[in-house]
Amino acid sequence: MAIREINNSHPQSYAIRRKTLDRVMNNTGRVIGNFLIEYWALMITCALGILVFAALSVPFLSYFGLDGISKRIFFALHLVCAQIPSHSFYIFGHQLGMCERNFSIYTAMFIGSLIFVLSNKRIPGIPWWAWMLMILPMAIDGTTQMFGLRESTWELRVITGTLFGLANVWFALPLIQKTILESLPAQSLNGKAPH
Amino acid sequence: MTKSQDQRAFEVVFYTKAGCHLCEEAQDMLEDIAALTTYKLTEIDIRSDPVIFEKYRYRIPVIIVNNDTIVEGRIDFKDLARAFHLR
Repeated sequence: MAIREINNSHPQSYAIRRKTLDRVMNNTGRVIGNFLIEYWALMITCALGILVFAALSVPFLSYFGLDGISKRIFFALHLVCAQIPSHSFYIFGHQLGMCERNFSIYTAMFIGSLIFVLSNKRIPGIPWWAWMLMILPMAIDGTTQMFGLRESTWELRVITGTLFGLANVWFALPLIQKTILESLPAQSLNGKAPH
Repeated sequence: MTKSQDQRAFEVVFYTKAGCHLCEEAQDMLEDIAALTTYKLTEIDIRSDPVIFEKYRYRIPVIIVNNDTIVEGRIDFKDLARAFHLR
């Protein structure tokens, strides 16, 4: 009799546990999803800001004698930049963590995404052809230099890199936000109309 | 040129500066090379001479092997080894 009771109650307790787990998973997923929908642009901005700040911190840390930290940051930044000395800026005689072109790209992307976040993600995006036009100068400058056809200058690296960085965030971030808003159910918009 | 002749001939000039992270990396590579072959090293701090400083300030680390092969900037070990005829 006791055995029959246990056998009968097992499927019920399993079902309850399963429902509870489903509810927890759903709620967790919803919280993470809502967080990402709300703060995705801020997270990108923070990541870019950390990169720019890290690159800038290298010469200052070296100047103040903190070579151990400076060296670690410098070599970590090699993951995103070739760090060619002759193509780099120097502060206090110490090389920045990124070359001129990459520093311009990431700084422009950081500033662009910061403006986008501060505008409450309302800045409209540029069309694809404008994006192409803005990245073309860097493509030409970088490619011709890479194949040894000519040598670029720091001014050209900065200008073309800045255009490239701005174009990327100005094209991609509003597009991501538009896609998110269009894919959300109407009641989730909280009165926000899609752009 | 045989390996023993190479070893006798290697004269290395290493332009560097304190606080240069790439120079420290290049120094480590030179130590690795020292385990494979012998060479005479002359290390020059570019701040010791204004002319040398102006010439190399945006290029260091610069390694000149036998006064003809120059390896500089972000140095790849393969390039350095090739300069010592090791690869």
